[in-house]
Amino acid sequence: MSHATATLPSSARNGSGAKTNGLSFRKEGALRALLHKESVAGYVCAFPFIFGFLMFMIVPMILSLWYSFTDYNIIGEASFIGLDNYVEMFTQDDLFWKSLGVTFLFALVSVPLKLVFALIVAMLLLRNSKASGFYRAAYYLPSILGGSVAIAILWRQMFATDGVINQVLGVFGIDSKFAWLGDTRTAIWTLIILAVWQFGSSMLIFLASLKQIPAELYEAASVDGASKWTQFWKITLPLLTPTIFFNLVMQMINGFLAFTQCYIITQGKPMNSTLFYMVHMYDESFTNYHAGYGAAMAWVMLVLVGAVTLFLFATKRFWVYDEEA
Amino acid sequence: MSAAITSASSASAGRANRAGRANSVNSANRPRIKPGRIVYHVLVFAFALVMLYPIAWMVFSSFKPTNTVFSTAGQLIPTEWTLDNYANGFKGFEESIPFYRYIGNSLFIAVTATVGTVFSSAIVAYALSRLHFKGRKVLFTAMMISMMLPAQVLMVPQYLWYQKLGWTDSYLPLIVPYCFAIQGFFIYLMMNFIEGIPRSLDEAAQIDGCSYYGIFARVIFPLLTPALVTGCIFSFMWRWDDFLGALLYVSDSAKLPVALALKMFADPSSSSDYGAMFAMASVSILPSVLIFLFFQKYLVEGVSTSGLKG
Amino acid sequence: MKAYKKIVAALAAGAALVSMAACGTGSGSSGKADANKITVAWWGNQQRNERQAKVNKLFEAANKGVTVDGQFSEWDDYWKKLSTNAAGNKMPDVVAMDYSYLQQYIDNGLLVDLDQYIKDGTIDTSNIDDNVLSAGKIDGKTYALSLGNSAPALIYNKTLTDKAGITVPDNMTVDQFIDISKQVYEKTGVKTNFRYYEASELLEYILRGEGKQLFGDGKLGASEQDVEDYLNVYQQGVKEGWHVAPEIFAQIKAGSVEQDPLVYGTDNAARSWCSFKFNSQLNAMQAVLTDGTELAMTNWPSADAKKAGYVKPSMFFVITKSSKNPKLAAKYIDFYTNNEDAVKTMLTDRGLPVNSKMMDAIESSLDEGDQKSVSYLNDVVIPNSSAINPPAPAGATEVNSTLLPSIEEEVLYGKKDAATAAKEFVEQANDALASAK
Repeated sequence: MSHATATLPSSARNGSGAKTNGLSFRKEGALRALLHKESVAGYVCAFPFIFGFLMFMIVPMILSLWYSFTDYNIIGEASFIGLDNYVEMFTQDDLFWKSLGVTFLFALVSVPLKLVFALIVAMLLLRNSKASGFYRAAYYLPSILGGSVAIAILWRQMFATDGVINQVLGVFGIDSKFAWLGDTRTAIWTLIILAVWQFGSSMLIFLASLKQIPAELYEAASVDGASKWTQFWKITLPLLTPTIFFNLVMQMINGFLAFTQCYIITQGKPMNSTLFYMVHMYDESFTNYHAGYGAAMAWVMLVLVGAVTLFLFATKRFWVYDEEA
Repeated sequence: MSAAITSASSASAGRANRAGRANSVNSANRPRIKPGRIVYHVLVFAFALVMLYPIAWMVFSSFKPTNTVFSTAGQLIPTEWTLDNYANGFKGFEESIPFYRYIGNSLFIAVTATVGTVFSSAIVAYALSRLHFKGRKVLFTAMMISMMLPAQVLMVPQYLWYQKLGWTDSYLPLIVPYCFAIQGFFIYLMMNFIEGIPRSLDEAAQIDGCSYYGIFARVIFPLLTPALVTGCIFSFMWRWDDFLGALLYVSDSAKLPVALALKMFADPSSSSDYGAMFAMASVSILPSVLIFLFFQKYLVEGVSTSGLKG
Repeated sequence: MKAYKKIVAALAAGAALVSMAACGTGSGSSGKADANKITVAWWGNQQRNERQAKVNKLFEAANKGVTVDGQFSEWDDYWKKLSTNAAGNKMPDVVAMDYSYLQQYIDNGLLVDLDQYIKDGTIDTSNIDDNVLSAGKIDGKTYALSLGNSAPALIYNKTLTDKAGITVPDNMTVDQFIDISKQVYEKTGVKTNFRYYEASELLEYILRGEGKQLFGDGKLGASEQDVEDYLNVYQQGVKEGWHVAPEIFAQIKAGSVEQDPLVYGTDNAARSWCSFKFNSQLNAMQAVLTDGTELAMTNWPSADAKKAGYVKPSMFFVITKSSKNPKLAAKYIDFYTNNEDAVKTMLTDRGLPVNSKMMDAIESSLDEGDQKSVSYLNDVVIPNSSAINPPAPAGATEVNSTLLPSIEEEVLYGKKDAATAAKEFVEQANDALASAK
């Protein structure tokens, strides 16, 4: 990351603000000077995270890494078994591969769809009208419901043989008794639809960052006679690419770590065709009490998600607009 | 794609002075074509109804007699209306603890954790995207990695750790970590927005005599409003919905948050009162909805310029 | 490992210091053993939570200065929380225990031997049947006290079978059951659910009828042939059309009373005329039916009803090793089981009271469904029953919740025939049982 911040000697400009008593003035002055060095300011401002990470994250992370090398059933002692968990995962656990495939499909399909929806709706809702507050709320509300029991029940009902979806198809003359959730080809799509339906949070981020685009850009463009369509392609979209990138990275991570949709609705049925990786991991850890194995699964996923994220970062320079470039 | 970027950067040449960023895009240029507007409203409204169907279903279900919730799941409007579910729900599980206590508990947890998260994340994001110091990249990587480990796998180790700290049986694990920017998502979100703020503003402020902290307080923070608002909405909603933490760390039944209390209307091993659950679920989404309605107008009104004066 | 422990200890010390400084008071709520306080944890629904909270109040009133902290969760959450607490050696004093988890908690040395409290009279078991007591005995030691009796029951739609002119006899064989299922399907179009996707109790029950035990010592007690016979019912049912199609089960929550094909669904193809449940669930199922349909129950089919039938402890109370007041905890269990007010408060929430005197005391206040439950237990099950199998070994959960359901699924979907599936299941189950040992 290159930068162009002017590094003025900041200490030079801060003497005037000192309102300390004479005794400690010298000491305090030195302290202030130190505090106003850029690198020191960096550490000071980053302190909450440094502290939080060391205090709340690092130990549990190390512990879980340790568990991944053990036979651990949560309620008893963990015993070291080396790489056995990892070996078993790659060589003996069919569900590991199966759930990995399902998760990749889910993430790679639902995330782009969700982002496209979120972006389109965000653009539509930019217009200010009396109803726009209502509209925004309406499109955002599904995200608030998240993974509640109500959603689980409703989703199963909607896609049931006698459910709403088949009824709607009936209205269009397609008499269907199709079991959307019972077919190995379609069940995963009901979960993808649920994920896409909850596009509200990505939409909100798009809305917020659309507001960040300076209005003069559009004014200048209109003066030049650019159509709205051109404006979208030449101004809005390029300036939005950092946010698209952000949403893409976050949603990809979330997509691979997806849990709720499968857990509350299908639990992997039918025939494990909707079994998310995280649900498999959860079952292993908390149902079968193979918590060591579950930890190993989590770390394998971390490497995979890390690789996907790194890949996305590598593509960044080809399509993400960078102010400083 | 690259053509678009070139043109955008040439367009951005006009951004030397961006004091007017307060103006929102939509106020810039909108031709007022009536038929178009009607089509727009019809479409957006119709689709909004589709989006709202599940919520409507839940709310209407909460007025159905509880033993008919499933048998009538296919119909939206109850044939027989009842308020019993609300009476049952508000009664709670113990005589001395009415249901609204749980809502109060959740409000306390969600509000404190949200305020903590948003402020700490903002300042950390400022450090990571604007200030140069050794280890910045390491911190960024640590933040990304911390998002890639699922909560389910950290649950037990975290519990053991908080137990060592003596924090179990209290709200501390549900609040304090969030005040230390433990959720990388918010840092990264704010970083993304800070990067959209032109650096020339920092430089101008610096020339005016602002320290690095001053730049944050007077330039970045005010301009970060859309991100702060978004962060508040998300954080509140997530804290509100979180039951995993409370499950482990709250043992006093009077201190349960609402997300966990809701689950107690249903028990797969015995019978469940889905009517009461839907009634209380309908009540418990209200705060998130209100927070959204309250904050969303700040998203729309754009950023106040008052912070720009160094 | 040592170095790692040191680092953890150092970090903990540092962190505790910081947290103390940061929060002023610190937070020493844990560790302080309050001699007059116990924590009781259970799973359940609103009704149980309410009633148990009342019992806790009664116990407090009967024992001056004592406080009872009640912790309740929903089933899944309950086990998650309990296992995590166990990892931190910080379990509640008295916890509700299920038969399927009991062995694991004993194996890991987490439970207190109750015999000492029975011997010294803290827990009075004089009115409890020996068969009931022995269910909580493992290797000669009493670890758990049953809180209620229940029994496997085939709950069926009596209105439907009456209309079709079919009588459902007690003590059926599996073949008789299949025959009735076919008749119901032919006459009404309503199908059958052979306890699909719900653990291995039915398989275990059928095996018992043949004098076999599902979970033997570290391996499966069932042969491939046994499992094949069992899976054959599904295969045959789907082929002939009288078993509910697997697609239907994907749209409901497995095991949920409200969405059981017996009471849920409008389409005959999605309905079942019966459900393999426990007698305690009759009331809940009947409550969902608003159209006047009457449910009845009989015992599960087997080759020999006496060998197969058993009375099941619906759940237990146990005292944990983390308890600082095991004596008071024992007193609580005694109160719960033997105090008339307590029993009258709980009624049949956890099955029929184990204390025979208390059973008589509440009999008059039972509603119709409960009375059916009582007479079923007394008239059908108890004369036709034998001792329950010992608690399932570690690894059985995996068999119950993962292996068997998915193998049943593959048979129902026609991906595997019963013979292949049986072979695979026996192999996998033996693996799971061996590795959990």
